[in-house]
Amino acid sequence: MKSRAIHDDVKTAADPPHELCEMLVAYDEHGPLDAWQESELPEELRQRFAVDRHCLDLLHRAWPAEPPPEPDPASPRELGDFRIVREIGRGGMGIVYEAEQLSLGRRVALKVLPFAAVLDANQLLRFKNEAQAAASLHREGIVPVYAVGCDRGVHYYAMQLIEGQTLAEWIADQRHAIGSSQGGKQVSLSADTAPVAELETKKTQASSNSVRRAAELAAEAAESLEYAHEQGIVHRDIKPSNLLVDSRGRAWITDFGLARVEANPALTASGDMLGTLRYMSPEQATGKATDVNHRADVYGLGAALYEMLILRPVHDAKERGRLLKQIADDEPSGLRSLNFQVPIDLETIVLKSLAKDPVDRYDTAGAMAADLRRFLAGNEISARRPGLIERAKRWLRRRPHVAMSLAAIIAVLLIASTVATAISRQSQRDTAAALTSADANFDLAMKAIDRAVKTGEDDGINRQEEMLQDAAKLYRQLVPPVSTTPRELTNKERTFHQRRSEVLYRLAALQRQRGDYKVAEQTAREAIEAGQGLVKRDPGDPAAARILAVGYNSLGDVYYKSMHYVEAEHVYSAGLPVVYAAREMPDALVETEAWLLGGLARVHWVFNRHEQAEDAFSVALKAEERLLSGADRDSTALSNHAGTLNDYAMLLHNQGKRHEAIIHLKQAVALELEAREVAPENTSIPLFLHHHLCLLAREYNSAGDDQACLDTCQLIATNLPRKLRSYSSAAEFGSYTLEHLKQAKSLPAGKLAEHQAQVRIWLAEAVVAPEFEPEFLHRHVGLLTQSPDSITYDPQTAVTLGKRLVRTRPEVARFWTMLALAHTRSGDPAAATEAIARAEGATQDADSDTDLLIVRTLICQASGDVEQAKACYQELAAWRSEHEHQMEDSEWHLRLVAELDGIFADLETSSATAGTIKQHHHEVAP
Amino acid sequence: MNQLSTADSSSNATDPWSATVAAACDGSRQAQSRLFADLRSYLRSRAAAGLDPHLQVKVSPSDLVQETLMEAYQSFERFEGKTRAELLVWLQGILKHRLLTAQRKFHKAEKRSLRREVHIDQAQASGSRWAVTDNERTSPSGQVMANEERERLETAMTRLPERQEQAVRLRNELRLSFEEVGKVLGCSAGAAQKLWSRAIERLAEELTDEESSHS
Repeated sequence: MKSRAIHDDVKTAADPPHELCEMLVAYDEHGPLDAWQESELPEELRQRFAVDRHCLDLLHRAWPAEPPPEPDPASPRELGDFRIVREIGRGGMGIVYEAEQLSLGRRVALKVLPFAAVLDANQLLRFKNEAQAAASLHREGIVPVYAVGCDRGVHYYAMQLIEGQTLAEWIADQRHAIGSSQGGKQVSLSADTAPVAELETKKTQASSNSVRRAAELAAEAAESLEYAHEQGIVHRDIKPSNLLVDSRGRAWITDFGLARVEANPALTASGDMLGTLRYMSPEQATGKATDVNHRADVYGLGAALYEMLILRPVHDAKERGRLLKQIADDEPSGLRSLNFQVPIDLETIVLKSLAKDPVDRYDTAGAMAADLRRFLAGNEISARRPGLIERAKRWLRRRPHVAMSLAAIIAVLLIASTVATAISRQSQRDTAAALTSADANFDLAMKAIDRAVKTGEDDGINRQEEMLQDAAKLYRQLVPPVSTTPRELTNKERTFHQRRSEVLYRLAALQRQRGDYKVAEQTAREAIEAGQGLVKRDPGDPAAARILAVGYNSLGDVYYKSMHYVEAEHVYSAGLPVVYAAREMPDALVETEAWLLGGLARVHWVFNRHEQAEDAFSVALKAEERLLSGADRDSTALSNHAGTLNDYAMLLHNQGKRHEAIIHLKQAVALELEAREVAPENTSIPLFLHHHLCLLAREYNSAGDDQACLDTCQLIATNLPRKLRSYSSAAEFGSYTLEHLKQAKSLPAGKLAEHQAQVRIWLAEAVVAPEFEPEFLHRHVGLLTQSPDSITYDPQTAVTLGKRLVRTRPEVARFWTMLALAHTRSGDPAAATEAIARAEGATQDADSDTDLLIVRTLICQASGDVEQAKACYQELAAWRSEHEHQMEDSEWHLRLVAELDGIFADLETSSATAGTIKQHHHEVAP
Repeated sequence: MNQLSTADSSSNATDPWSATVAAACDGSRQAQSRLFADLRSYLRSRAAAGLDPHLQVKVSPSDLVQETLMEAYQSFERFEGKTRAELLVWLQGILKHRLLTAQRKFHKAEKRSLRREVHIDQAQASGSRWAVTDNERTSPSGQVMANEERERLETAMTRLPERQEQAVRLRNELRLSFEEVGKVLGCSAGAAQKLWSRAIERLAEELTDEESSHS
């Protein structure tokens, strides 16, 4: 690990003598000096200068002085043979200018790569090669490249100027025209309003005329692509903004050869590159560079045609990660459901060109063009829609990890489609028939989904979410057998909905943990919707109640985590009556009740409604106890109960109810230990245990129960979770306790020394721990600077760690204050003053006024400025008595204040204010 | 800040870069690229110094510089200075913003951990604030050095106090005048000279130390 020098510039190190300084500057500027100049230096400096000279020589060799560049020619700007006239477009990958080619006197479009400075030599070379290859393409429909060049570091690309617009602009215009004539009305797509939607569609979507127009343009572009492919050149970035329509209505493809450069992931990372990503084929998006061939262009053209037909992109995610996932996994929605004007044959062509697997697309762009021409002529097209079995095979091919039988997949799809078709025909008899045939397959399908979810579980967290998502999607398509009496729920239905609810619940939780609150909210709402349907049919059914209440709980958790507390309260509260309306209370429902109550309690706490929070916590705890009353106590229930106890204890601590807090924390520790025994493979439980133990040590420490505190410290040290190797907490509370014991003289000297040795070991372990989280580091520096007579006192180490702290997080005021304290303790008030100045200028946590006042008092005291110190101390005392009720004092604060009280006890003037502080202190550490 | 706005014209007259900076301000991509190419490695060292060491596993300083330069390209018209020093100050501002965003993104430290993620967790609670990353690090300069000497220099540089390292880089790598060095570091030209001299002495010391420990 590299360590920065401790003494920073300005005040600490001595400046080199003036003569030497001048000599160095002169040498740096003008090179070797005349011998007589050097001889003017005193003898002892000459030696030093000789050493420094070598260093400067080395620097000069490392960074030779380059002559600054030639001044840029003033505007009008010229590049090589081109004079720039005006800017005509600006994209992620460069600015397009209209320019004049001076030698030939013709107008051109000049694309300038702005990123030359961030591309390496290889990338530039590749760009050049590709562009030169593209320049060899000569055909109507491909924008000709006139020149590729580089002038004084600027790379450019000159093309024929096409008068017209890009398809991206064309699509935007269409969308705008529809938007303005309809007042921006959205098309409703939900199934139950289908007839209405159709009426809307008629007015809103592209007319049949423009459907034909789109197909013609696509056919022309496909023919041009075919020509390029025959020359062995793949475009790799076909998208609406690279397709132009000239004033005669002909299609042109532009930007051949640029895709290679754009595919540089460093460049595509920024937001405006999403445009490129959106039209990428799955094999490009998943980075299978070797699989990318001319079929990627077929996909790109399909995507462009799709967007021309329904005026929205195939994949519409706004965020990079989601977009990549959509491209890889989501089948495009059917065109006809969005625009009924699209004939079925055209839809078939588009979907074939958009197939996820390249081998399922058209073999060549020419084949796609031919099919489009056939469609336009009214002839039969060659493409066939994939059958159910084909679709199932494809689905499976993309998921080689799924240990699902093919038969089961087909069953799922079969049931989904037959039942859906039957229902859509709204014929009672057909539905019944479909259901009967579906019934047998239903169990099979359920089993298949279950197995898929299990596979995901074994594969870790990423796979887990993916599999859950697949499962949720399948459940959405699967319709369970319905009973003939509509109100009563069948067992199969119950199982189905329970499983589905579980999947959605877990999915929402994973999404929430990832911080993707929007998506998590949607998932939770899907669960609630399903639950509401069930509860409406039979409000007393416990299973239905559980499903709905769990949905509410999911949504509440999402709101809570995203800090929408009002909404969270509303949703948790909505869940409880659902629970209480059930005919019976099976365990599952009791568990849900406890979750909802716990959530509600935390919201109350956030709003400072402590009494209500306490009430909710105690009801939740009772519910959890009921769940644990049986013989079989499972780890989740145990750990859940411990968690609620822990949070309740924190609430009690805040209210000063120390003994009650201790009781609850002890219980939490016991439960978590039991949970760990039941489920030793669960890695979260040890972290929770550590958390409970640290809180418990804090409570014992402030309650003055020394032996118990030491025992707890020992437990912390021996139960460190594998992921957390910091002994800091053990050392912290251990050292406090030892000081109490020393003062109280209640231990024999030998015993005390033994404990001291133990604490020292923890302390040493804590310092060598590999990396500290800043918050831990902060507390640890606090520990090392506490009070000169503490066994943890080590100002030198504190300065080193403190510097590391501010270097990693220079924006946090508290951290600078801590460094200032360390400097004060190590006898360097000047450095301390400087650190304090930085603390005042820092942007975060500027509210740590007490810290600042305390440390400033100490600095003044240390540098002998008694008057100033006194003034600071009085300000501190005044501030404290004023804010007494809002104080959440840490042990660190209390100890430093006590130390100051000790210092200023002699000063008559301050005795009155000091008294208030002392009182406060004694209350905590008797 | 005041120091910047009162950039005196006399120093500009002798600044061989002023024409390039002016062209860059006029929108010349060439001049911008030339300037950025030059300031890149200095910015990289600032990014490396400003980034939480354990964050460097997730975010590379080079990426941050890349993002910074991209942003600068896109908003060059907002740059209002005339000298490279001012450009550097402006770029450092963007970089600082990028740094803070990166830090914030990865340090969503919760003050109170109330609600726990129990029900699901067979898997790791990877978002935990207790998570401790292993001691992986990117090499101090990240790039492959052409020769051993240069590498030795870079290593010694990282052992200088931060401002001293900055002074040497500004002066010798970027060949700024002391006036400009002072502007970037927020001090007078005289103070910059002193700081730099001290840095040279210190660097010479580090280099000889290392030599003797090698032999």
